[in-house]
Amino acid sequence: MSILIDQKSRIIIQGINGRAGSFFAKRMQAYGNNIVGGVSPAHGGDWTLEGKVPLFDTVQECVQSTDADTTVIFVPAHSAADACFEAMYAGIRNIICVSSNVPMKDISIIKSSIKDYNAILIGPSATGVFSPGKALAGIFPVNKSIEGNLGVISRVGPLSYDVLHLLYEKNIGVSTAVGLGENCMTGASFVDILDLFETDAHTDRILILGQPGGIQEELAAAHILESITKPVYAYIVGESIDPESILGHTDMSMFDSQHLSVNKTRVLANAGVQMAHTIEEIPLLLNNKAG
Amino acid sequence: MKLHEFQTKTLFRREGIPLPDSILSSSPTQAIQAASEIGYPVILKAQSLVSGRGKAGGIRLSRNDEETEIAASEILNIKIKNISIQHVLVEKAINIEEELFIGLHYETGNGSPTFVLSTEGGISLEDKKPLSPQWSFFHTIDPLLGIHAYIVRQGCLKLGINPDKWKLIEQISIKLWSVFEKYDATLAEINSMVFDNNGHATVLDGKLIIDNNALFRQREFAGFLDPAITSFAQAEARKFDHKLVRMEGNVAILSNGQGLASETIDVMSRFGLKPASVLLLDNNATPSSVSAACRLLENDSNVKAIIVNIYCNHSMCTDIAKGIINGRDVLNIETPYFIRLEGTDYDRAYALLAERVNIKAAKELIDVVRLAASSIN
Repeated sequence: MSILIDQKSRIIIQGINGRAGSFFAKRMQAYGNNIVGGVSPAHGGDWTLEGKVPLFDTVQECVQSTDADTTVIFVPAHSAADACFEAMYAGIRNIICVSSNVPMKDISIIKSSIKDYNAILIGPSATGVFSPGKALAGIFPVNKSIEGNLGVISRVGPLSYDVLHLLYEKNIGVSTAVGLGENCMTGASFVDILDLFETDAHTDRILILGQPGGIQEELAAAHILESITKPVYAYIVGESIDPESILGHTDMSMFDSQHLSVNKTRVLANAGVQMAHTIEEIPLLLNNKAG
Repeated sequence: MKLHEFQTKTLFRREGIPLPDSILSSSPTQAIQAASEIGYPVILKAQSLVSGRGKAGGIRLSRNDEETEIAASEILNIKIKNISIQHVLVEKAINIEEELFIGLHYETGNGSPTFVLSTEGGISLEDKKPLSPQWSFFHTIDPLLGIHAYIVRQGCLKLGINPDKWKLIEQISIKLWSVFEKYDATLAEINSMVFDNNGHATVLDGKLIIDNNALFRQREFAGFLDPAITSFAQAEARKFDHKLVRMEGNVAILSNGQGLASETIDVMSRFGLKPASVLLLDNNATPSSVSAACRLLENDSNVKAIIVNIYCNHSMCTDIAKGIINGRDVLNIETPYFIRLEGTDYDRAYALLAERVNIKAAKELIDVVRLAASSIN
């Protein structure tokens, strides 16, 4: 088992004709996914991915003919909210938004509306959902991961690929890896995904990858203490960042002076989470406990 | 994108938020002229995007031309964190009776805007010091419903504010919401709202941060960029959808994720290296946009070395390598590069980089940083 997606997931891609959309659609298809359709307005009726995948003008039509349950969104930032709403209203359950630079107001409104639908939003700026050996709905590199019992939740973008490689080298298998996106504000949060792993029969333990900015790690710590029984491990990058040393103003959340890595690490450790202090320590920590 | 006080006030005035008369000036002569139009006493306020202007002497009361001349020329000579002051806002001084803080910002945990009303005027949510719960009221706003007067009244009641003032606080809070909503702000603050002896309400200062990701639909803010702080380099970076921030150290970082950049800073700190800047490439980087990024990083005399830590998932490692090589060749620059690439096509990229002078590439970040450290020390 795995969370969110498996071999049976019926995946569609919104923005499949764009550069990133077509590139990653091929990766997903090559991984053996069930890509049942693509959405590209004004291209309905065409076929893509070597004639194997039908295109639709709207998500609604696509869902009606394919019974899709998962979408991966690659549209430009200014259309991302539109694409998420379209998927939501069409009844898609897993909405994985890879598009980056989406305005905060849009994310906020989607988060507020999605509660009324039986749906979950991963992203924006998501690296997606990857269940090794089963399915990929997103952009994770797939060649260096094996199936296993560790659930991974990441807020560190491409740094999570390095962590997955390290795990692979040390023979640690992954049930599902979820990349929430590097923004402070994301659709699903650490807390939401922790709950999914807690009830997943094939996940024995959970690894959290966090970074400075926002309060997701702090909220996760409180939640772990209260309701997670499986062992949790974490690595929070950026302990040596000094936000005081920046000149001027930036919107990069890694320089958020109110939510430093050191504090996040402390709060998680207090909640009983096993902390790695460097990326290399992660597999050591996991293998130590397993052995 | 953080706005200046005078820019914030332009938007506040547009929504009908009551403000004291004020005129922007950039010389002592202009300041005296402004003060005579407004009428003494006036406050002179340094226009700075870096916090701490009060401590640096950037806010001064003046009762006559002589004082104005001295205050204005002193303010225009202040440097806060090495950034000089370009403008002084000359504003009518108000007799303060009671100060209130009104704020709106996104709570990243639940993703909703939060309304804050506090009787602790004079501080900011951007500061590290949190508002004390005893004197503050917090309320989560549904972004689809917006703020309503009853929410503000609940706050007034909790804080024990005199009911005579509720109406004005409701009106101004709702106007602040329309600024927040209309202009894609991530933070909007009134700090503070005051009542004079006659019970009239005025807003003395405010703060607005506009969402950079919303600039595609907030086009007027392109004209609000401050050249003193949004350096040429930052503006250039934005053209290519790169993100750039300058820092105090001497090693520049070129990366494609905040997590990767943070990891690089951590590993650098083990070798005593401090970042001079962080440039994050757009996902769709091409050789020419990478060359542009190199140009921006090298356009800083503090930079002694450049560390590259990029995981190529969207783009090809060879595109990054070509971009770096071309950028350096065109500019004929000798700043050493220490490069770690991973992902699509990395072996070909390493082959390209191997033949180059002043470029060292390694597979592990720690080896790259070690090489950089030994080149500097």
